[in-house]
Amino acid sequence: MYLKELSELSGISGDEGEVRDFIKSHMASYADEMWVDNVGNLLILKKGRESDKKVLIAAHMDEVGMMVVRINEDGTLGVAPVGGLDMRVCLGKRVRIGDVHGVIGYKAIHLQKKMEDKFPARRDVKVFCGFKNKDEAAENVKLGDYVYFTTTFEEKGEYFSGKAFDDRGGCSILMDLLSSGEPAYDTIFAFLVQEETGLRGSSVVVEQVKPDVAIVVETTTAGDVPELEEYRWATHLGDGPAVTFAHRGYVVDPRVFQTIVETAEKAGIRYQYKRRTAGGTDAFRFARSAYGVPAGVVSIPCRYIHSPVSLMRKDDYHETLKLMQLLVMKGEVKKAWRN
Amino acid sequence: MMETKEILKRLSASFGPAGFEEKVAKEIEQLVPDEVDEVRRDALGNVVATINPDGSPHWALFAHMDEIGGVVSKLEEGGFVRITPVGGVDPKILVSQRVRIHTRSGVVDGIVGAVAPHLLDKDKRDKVPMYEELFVDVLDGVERIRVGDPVIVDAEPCELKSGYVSGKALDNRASCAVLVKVCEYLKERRFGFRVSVVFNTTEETGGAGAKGAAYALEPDYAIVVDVTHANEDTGMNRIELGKGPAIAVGAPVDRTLFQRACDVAEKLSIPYQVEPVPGRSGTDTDQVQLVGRGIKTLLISVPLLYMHTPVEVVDPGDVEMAARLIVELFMDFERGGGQCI
Repeated sequence: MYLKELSELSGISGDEGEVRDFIKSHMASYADEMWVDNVGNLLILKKGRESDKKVLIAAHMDEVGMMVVRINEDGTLGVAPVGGLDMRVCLGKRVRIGDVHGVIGYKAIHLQKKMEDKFPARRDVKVFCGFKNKDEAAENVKLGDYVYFTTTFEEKGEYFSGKAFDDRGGCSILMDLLSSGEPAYDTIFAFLVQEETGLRGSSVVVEQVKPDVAIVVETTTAGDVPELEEYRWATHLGDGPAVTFAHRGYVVDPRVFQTIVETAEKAGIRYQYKRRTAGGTDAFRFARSAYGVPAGVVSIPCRYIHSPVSLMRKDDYHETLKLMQLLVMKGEVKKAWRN
Repeated sequence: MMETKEILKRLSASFGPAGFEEKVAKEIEQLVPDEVDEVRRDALGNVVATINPDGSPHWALFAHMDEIGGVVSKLEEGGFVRITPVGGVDPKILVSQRVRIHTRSGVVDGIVGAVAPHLLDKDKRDKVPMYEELFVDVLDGVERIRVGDPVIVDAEPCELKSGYVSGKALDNRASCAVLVKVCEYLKERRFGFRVSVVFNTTEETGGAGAKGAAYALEPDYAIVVDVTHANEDTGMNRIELGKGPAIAVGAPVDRTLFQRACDVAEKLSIPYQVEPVPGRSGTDTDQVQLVGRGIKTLLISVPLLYMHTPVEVVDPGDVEMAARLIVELFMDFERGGGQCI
């Protein structure tokens, strides 16, 4: 499991280098072929026991975060979200821009007219690093620099907590698989860039590897909190991987969907359906690339994704890994093209 | 002698919401130099250090050591608890914070949960949750938590550019650091006055910590040290980080003491700023001034940015300057400067 290290690395969409280098250095010895493509995706071929078919499994390396978009006269920095970061969760947090530490404060409660009951607009969120003025700030920070939360990884009781679990959880599963032996078929392990900014990295993968089937390993929103009624939960913690039947722009190829569900059932692996169809994954791109790759999605349920600190159950991670082992390493995925 | 920024970081990291000051009190007892004549805890939980107990006049210094926080108010199914605020907590900055719940059998970690925006109705998306809508997701040990257990945001202090220190509870641990520095600086001076250094409880909930100590000590003069809003437009004289302590002028403070403090600062080129306080100061000064037959009181504040958030910012230089100003004011009185009062 590489989740701790992956979680603490910096890799906002467009800045995935650190994550890619980490994966490269740890996976090189398992790879039969490894290359980085023109947009930054890391693609690793692992030869299988059979080579008549090719399987693609993918996870994205990028995380949501912020970018410096303005340097103010007083030396503070204006920021904008990169990907679907919920700007409500930024207040009162520490951040890091390269080696520069900063904080996102907010006007003291004593100075707010009444108490403001709306979250501030994006333009009113500022990063304070201690610069005395614009010039000093501009010497140390540049427009376009990425702004990271400093959340450390923690393992407590049944849980992992940390940042960027979406989708370092998926990356960690892929690394676990790749380092665990020989897959049934020639398999491409794809670590993708820029999922959070519009499924960009995945757009160029199919052309390069021509797979017969694809499975995306994601981390997805769990809604099981006291402020949400059960009918609104997309997934929940503790019942294993979530299997997607349809999401934005793509109804999952029924052969792939059925293969995933039946594999889990046969092996007695707990699973759940993802009950909401908002949001997309890289499966959308694979299914629409070239000849249209039948693509499925398996997700680790996770609370508070797209915030500085998310929460995952250990057993959900391990159940997801088990399911992926059966599909990819044992080769159950073959049913997706033999049905 | 510990560096000021290290004292600040250590105090920032200490635990002690109003009414639960035991742990921070112990930390402060460690930091007060051994050379003081006595350190004791009074019935209200205040830490009182005494220097030169038989001296005269009697100066009392006050800095509250409590911080804002919360208390567990309800246990929910599924490993969640609800919290209610202690002091002026802005719910906007609580969302997605790691928190620490101090139970009778150890610390339990949690996360203040945020409901994903796309799962909320549109009209609720940018609305700040009310306290009763906030929930803490408990990682491990939920069975140890009881209603009434105190909670604080888990925020590690850090250093920023310009030498600034950022962290939680610098309101008012920055002022506690001032008092620690005063004790240190006084070690090198010879004088005839008495000083009671009070690290008091329960300011954030308007409690009796400072007031009770003032009543028991009956000092001739009191100086309250607190923090004040820096780098913000308050409509009054703008106080800024790094430009020295703010000396308050207005109803709650003695005018002559104020003037004397300004004169001393001018004479010794100690940077300072003037903070107008037309009415209530919102500090323990409001109470201490009116204890017994009344106490001549001065309010000195450390400039602080983002008050009542986990990322409050102070300049350690301001802390040192505040301590120096207080010591020099004492010495000025020692030389007879105070006889005009």
